[in-house]
Amino acid sequence: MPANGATPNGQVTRRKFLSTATATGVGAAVARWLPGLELGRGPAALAAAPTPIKGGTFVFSRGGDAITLDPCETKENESESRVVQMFEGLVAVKPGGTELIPALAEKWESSAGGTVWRFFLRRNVKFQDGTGFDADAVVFNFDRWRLADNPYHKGDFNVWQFLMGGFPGTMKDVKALDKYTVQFTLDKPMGPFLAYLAGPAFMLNSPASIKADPDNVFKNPVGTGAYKLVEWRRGDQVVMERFKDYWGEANFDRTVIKVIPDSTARFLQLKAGAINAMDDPNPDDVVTARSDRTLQVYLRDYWAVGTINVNHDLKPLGNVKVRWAIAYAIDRQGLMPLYQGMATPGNQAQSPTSWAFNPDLPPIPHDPAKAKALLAEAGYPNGLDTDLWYMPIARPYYPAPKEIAQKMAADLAAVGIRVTLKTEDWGAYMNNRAGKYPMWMFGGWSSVMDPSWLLYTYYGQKAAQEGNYDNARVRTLMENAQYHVDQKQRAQWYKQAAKITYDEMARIPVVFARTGAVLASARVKDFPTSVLRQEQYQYAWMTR
Amino acid sequence: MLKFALWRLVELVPVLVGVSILVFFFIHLIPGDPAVVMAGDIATPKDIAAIRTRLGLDQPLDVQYLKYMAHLFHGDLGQSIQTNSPIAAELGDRLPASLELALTAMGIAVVVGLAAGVVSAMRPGSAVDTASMVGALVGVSMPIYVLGLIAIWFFAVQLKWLPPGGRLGTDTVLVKVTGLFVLDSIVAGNWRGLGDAVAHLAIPACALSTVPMAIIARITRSSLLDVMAQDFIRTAYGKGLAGRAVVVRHALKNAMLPVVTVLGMQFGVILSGAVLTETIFAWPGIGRWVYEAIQTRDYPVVQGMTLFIGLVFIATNFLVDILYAWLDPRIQYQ
Repeated sequence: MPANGATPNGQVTRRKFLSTATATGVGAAVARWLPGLELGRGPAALAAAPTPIKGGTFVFSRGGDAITLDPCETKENESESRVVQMFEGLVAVKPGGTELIPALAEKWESSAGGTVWRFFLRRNVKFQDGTGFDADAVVFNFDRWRLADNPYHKGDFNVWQFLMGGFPGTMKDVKALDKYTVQFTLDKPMGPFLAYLAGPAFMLNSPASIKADPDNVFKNPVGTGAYKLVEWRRGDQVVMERFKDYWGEANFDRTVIKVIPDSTARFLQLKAGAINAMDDPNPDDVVTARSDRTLQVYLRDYWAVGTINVNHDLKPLGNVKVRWAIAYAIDRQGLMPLYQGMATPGNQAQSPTSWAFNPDLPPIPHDPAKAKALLAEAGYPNGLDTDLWYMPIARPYYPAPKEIAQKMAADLAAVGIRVTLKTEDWGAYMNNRAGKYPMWMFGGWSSVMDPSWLLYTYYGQKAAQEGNYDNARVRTLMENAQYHVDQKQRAQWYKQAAKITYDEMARIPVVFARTGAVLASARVKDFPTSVLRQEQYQYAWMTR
Repeated sequence: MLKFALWRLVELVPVLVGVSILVFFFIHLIPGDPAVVMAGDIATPKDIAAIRTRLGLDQPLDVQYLKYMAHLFHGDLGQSIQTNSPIAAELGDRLPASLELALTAMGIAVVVGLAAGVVSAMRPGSAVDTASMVGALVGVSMPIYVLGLIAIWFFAVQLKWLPPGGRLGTDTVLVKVTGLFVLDSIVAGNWRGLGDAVAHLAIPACALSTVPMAIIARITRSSLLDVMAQDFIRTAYGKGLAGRAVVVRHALKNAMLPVVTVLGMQFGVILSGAVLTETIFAWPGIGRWVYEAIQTRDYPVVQGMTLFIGLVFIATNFLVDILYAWLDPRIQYQ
């Protein structure tokens, strides 16, 4: 038999035919199914990133509508998600990343003490009403937010008050040094200052638009961003079109954010092709999407934390041994199936994505024996009884709160901590948790790219409001980090605080969670996920 | 009849006042503070107190109620706590969506339900009768949530015949006149828009029509069977009239009274209570809006919309009474 499989008279043998046919079939299947592999393209072409295709309409669906399109009043994610398409701030978060980058300011500098900041503005930028962006526009916006007697200061401005401590709060002065230079004077250095400026609440509105209709700023957004508002149908959708004079990059001609409250219905609309991408899928749909070649899954990074909070003023939860017993009792790895890949066991109040994460803290093992021993040492050899409140709505850190609570209750019961599971309506839960509940599931994530948002809330000046945990050393570390600008130094202080709150088990960490997943059509490319859930769709594109 | 109509208008006032008192005080009994929900996770007690003061929530309930009623008598339904928008304006945006869906669903329910009921009554005990009544039972028993998702999956995802939700496609541009997109597109001569609006209405309207359709079919059947057993029908047959003529010209009108009663009630229910349908199909109507307002303790919206829905039921009952008089001239109102 010749080596090439041909018979002595030149015919192909059955074995050769079958092996060739099999190889051809496998090759075709690989070519068909392997993403990015197209027949006829050589290795060099495959290695190069595809060129974004400009144009088209991108339809993204979320579960709720915006409450306002006035950036300074945004304090929930639905409003933020619309606002970041139309507005920009002096600073931005890198698309798909966590670093702070220039946006409407090209560069900045601060005084040695960190109380005076100068921002050098980008030139030739316009607002969507055609008016020019300059230092006067920046001053107008900041004065509107910070001065209670400003004629355009109409509204709550809760975010400013929370971050800046009042009106004017920390920001004593803001002035235009020249047409493209703005100077801010703070009464004390502020560590998260740049991160605040990168957030939706500090994005800049057109002064002319605000002056023209000061009572309806919430529904007349005019920013410098890639997209301008075409129509806002309440409870239905926000339609935006590309701003022709935008200074940066924007791939789509139109962007639509559509409200579809039910996540199953949202997924069906994605499957039907009525929308191109969606937020907050059911965990089961994430699994389905992974095996569906017409869809793809974009995972946001770990940023949220899920905890069990306790009231430190109540016996026996005020005893650190009891809190550690709870911590050891919970089988975090055993909870992971309920998260469908969207979380990992947690051990502190900052996820590994944050620069304030302390990598030296060991994971909290599942150790029922140790839990029982600690309970006995604390004077509860026969265990104890208490309530565990679970939240009535799904959150990224507790996507199936009841099921997770049931699993944790079983873990706790195994060491003798007998919990009665309770819940109530979300509004009541938010109201009652800190005063009424002994133990409750909670969590959160920072809405700005700085750890202080969570950590200062958890452990700073107002810490005692939530669970009555108050450690003077931790408070001092939080204050130091809040009022210094050197990030390396701040990181050290946060890590020291993480060690103390870990040792004291101030809040019992359960998980680090991704801030959700985005399911998209396979045609969507380069979708820039944001841990803050504030993606700017202008950087994505779609194949035809 | 005029005196009757005027008297019904007069009766409206104490009914609405009574409803407003009940709703106002009951909603404040629900645990949860709207100021907390509005302020968000980052708020301090001081922030929450400031919001309560701004909204007047720190005042005694009776003072809040009287202020609310004073505004109401000036035609001001108040402002949404959540969005700061006038409730009347938001109602103007959302009511057409609910109206369009409800009218279409009722239209389908009446046509199909009446037909099924008549056919069943004309052939009692037959296969058609059995099939029709079993269908009615399934229609009234099947949760609309399940039915809606199955319909989307089948017609939109698998067959791709119809859109899966919403009122219009994202590329359809329609000039809003009444907010009833079917009517607006006819008025504008926008036939592409008309096709899009009708296509988007199809699945949700059919899903929403199943319960009233089932009820109408069963009531029509039983009412018609009662009427068909009466002497005057036997007389009509005796005079040589064909079956269809007997039913259509003589029996049906007499059988319609209970059907009209049910129609009125069902219209009010599906106009204001189609929360599940509006949620599944992403339909921006008033049912979903009120449900979300309850979740966020948006008291002014809940109060205002409860009054509005009460008004709808009263108006519908009034129309039903008028229809009674037309259907049966023996009915006289004093």
